[in-house]
Amino acid sequence: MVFSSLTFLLLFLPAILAVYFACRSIRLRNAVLLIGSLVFYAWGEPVFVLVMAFVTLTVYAGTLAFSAAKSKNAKRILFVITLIVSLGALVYFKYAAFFANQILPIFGSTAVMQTPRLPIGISFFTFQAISYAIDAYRGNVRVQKNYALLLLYVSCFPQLIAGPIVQYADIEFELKERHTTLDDFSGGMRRFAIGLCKKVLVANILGEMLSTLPDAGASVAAGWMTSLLFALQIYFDFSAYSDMAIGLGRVLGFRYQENFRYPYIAHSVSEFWRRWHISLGQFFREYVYFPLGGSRKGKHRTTINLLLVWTLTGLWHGASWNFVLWGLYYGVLIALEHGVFKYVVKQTPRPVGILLTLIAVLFGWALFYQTNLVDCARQLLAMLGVSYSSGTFAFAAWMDAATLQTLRTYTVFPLIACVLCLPILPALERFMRQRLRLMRTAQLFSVLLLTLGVALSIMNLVSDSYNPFLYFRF
Amino acid sequence: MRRKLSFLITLWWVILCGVIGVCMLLFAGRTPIVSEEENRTLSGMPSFTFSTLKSGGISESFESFLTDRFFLRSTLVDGVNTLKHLFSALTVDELLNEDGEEVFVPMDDTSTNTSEEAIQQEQESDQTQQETTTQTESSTAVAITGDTASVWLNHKDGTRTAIFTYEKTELQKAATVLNAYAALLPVGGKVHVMLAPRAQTTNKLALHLDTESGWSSEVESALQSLVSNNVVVHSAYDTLQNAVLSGEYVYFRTDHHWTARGAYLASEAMLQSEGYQTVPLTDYSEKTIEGYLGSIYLHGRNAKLKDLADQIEVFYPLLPAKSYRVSNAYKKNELPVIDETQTNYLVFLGGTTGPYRVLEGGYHTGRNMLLVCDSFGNSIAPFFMPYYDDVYMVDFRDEYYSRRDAADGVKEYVRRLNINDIYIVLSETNGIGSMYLNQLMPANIN
Repeated sequence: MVFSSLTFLLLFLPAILAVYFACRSIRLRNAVLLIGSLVFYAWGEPVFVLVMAFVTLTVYAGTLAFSAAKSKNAKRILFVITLIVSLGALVYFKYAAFFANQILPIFGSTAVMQTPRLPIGISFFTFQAISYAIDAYRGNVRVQKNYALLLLYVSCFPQLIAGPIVQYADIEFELKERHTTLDDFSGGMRRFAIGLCKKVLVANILGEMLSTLPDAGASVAAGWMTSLLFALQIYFDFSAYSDMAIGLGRVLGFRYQENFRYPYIAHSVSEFWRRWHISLGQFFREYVYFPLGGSRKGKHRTTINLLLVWTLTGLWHGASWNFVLWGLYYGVLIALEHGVFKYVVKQTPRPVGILLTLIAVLFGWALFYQTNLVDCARQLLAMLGVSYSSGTFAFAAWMDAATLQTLRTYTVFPLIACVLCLPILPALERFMRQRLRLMRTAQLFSVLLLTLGVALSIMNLVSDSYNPFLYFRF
Repeated sequence: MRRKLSFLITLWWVILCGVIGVCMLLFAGRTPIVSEEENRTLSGMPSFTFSTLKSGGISESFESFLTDRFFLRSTLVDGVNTLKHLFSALTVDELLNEDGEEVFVPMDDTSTNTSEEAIQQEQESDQTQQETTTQTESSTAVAITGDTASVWLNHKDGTRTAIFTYEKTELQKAATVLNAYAALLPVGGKVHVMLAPRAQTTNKLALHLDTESGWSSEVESALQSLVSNNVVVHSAYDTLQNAVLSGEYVYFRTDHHWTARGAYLASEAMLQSEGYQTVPLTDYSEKTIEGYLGSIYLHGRNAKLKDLADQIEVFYPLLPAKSYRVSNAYKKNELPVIDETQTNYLVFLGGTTGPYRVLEGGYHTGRNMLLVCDSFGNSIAPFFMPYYDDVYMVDFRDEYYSRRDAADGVKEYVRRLNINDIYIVLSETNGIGSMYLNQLMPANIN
């Protein structure tokens, strides 16, 4: 099930909220939430609920085992086994075929391993489970002896499918005690509504636009438009989901951390990644970068650590060489920003920094978007004004018919999307709230806009059909 | 106070969504129904079985049910499209040029099967093709001189623009297919071929008579030079040009098909080349269906196109005619020739039915024909009835043709049904260079 579906909006959400708030005790509420989350997941992937349960069981048993271990060595061994087994499912479903198909030809085999069907959200719930195991090993959290509560943490439906990656420490207390105030309910639903509008009214239309550009290497405009549209689409799609997850979490009494903070106003690539998919960055920083030594073991080691972390980040996004390249691309940029360009980054005026970062990010999205390396190269070349065809290089045309048609069909919509990904509306609302006489207007305006947005979203869902999120299969 | 108000508004929305959801479950139609507007079947309530729940397919089908049967669906769809089109700067011309249907995408298993019978048939057809090729080589009068052949739109200022350009290899592939069909026929049989433009192409001339002077096409003559003596390639552009220039209603504006009037002119050209004296169109009784918005409109549902709503002229057969579905060369259930229940292009024959179909016009001429076509054939087929005992039709596109249902290959059908002539009528998207034409090789269809 996805949030932006009529099944969720008209049936699941009202039903689960009704039952949830009808229960008074936290135990009953947890039970309702757990059952609801399992139904939410099983609705689309019934068999893969078992995978999620298995990963959780592994981590549950593993943490109990190593917390009860007497010696440090035994504890470490059990911890490593826990990690390996819990990561095993992710490696099998997502990466086994990719690596097998790279390695088999080396030994002269022509066999091809078929990629198994990927359980939805496996990257997210596996990382959540692992973060709990690591925190338990480090002693940062108490070992959870109740399997149901641990399963609730892993499978809680607001963040199950596409994050944010919630650390156990953040909700450890809330699993046993939480309250929802009137503000939490209305504020949470408001946040959910904002996410719904971003997804259905903006991201989906950007996706439509993108689908009308079949050849990103056709012209300079095609190359840049593809990157820009994808940049906007993935931002609105993913941040929308985070908004909905955070909003629903708040309604249910959980406080999730922010996952996006207007990334496209970052003035350096490092800052971009402190604003984009924040929970993933935190995960890799705390559980991979710091254990490797971080930046404490000299410049060379720092560079190696960064490249390794970013390769893994790229691989996390998909089992394909373009994702690896994408990750490495950012690894190199961030290593340069930490190293030789450190002073330059600090001294660059903010507007210039924002522009340069945007350009770098748009090139990065070209690497991410094109899973075929040849198409990727064509797009990158087109963005640089070069076309490549039948072995010859030439200057690329500025514009092509398909791109012009797309621009004429959707005209100012990309511009509106660009404006919406800047913190203009929140700034406007803050401005109005600060002036007392405008406060009521601000509230009324906000309510009317959201009401209209939700109604339009439902209308759009009716006129569209099935609506998967981009990060669905991670 | 403000907090409570905010909470109440939020609660009201949640309750409203829940009420709509419950009403959907209780009152929305549960059986699938055909939507004429959308030209497809709207989903009904899916069955909750163990297998659908286990596979997870229930999620998609249940969501389809909710979206397809939502209250006031058409109004909502129109409303959303109106809002989307607010951003659009596309002119009516550009909207009329948008792509829509009729593009054949083959399924994975349309390659030749490996049964012994199929291999034998392939060998036989290879042999036939070799004979055909020899025949072709000996009869070639005019070869393609350049590497390409184009269809041109001529402008009044003396310039011209290529609408389509085909490579020599594409023409040769098309010729191979046509020659293969010609080889299936008995002595004296002919293959008539017409590759018709869609309305998107025709309207570039028809709706711009102030700037455009006409068409010219090199393609048909280029193709004619590559095919056997018993294949006649007709130019739809030559056939329909005068009608278009004189403002005759031969193509729809909001649908990619030709009108029945346009189909009549095409059939007239082919039949007259066969030596027939054709029945004038005025001899047919007709009715008109107003307010038709076809595939081009349905593609984007842009309100700008509503002003160009078409009318469908329906010409009734001269004698009481019948039509049947044909499977394994035997007649099965009866089908309409003119479907009185339809107010769109489906009025012609009730749409496409596979694997084969026969129209019996009530005439006794001693000759039968096979029409290999796409949906353009539905409006032209009835005009062949006065000249043939049985007009067989087949549409080999995957969604209509079932090899299992057909049982026999096309060569066998031609033999068993005593086909004298074959007419191949396809739209531009299923013509030269398309995957469909390449798939039409009898060996592939077998």
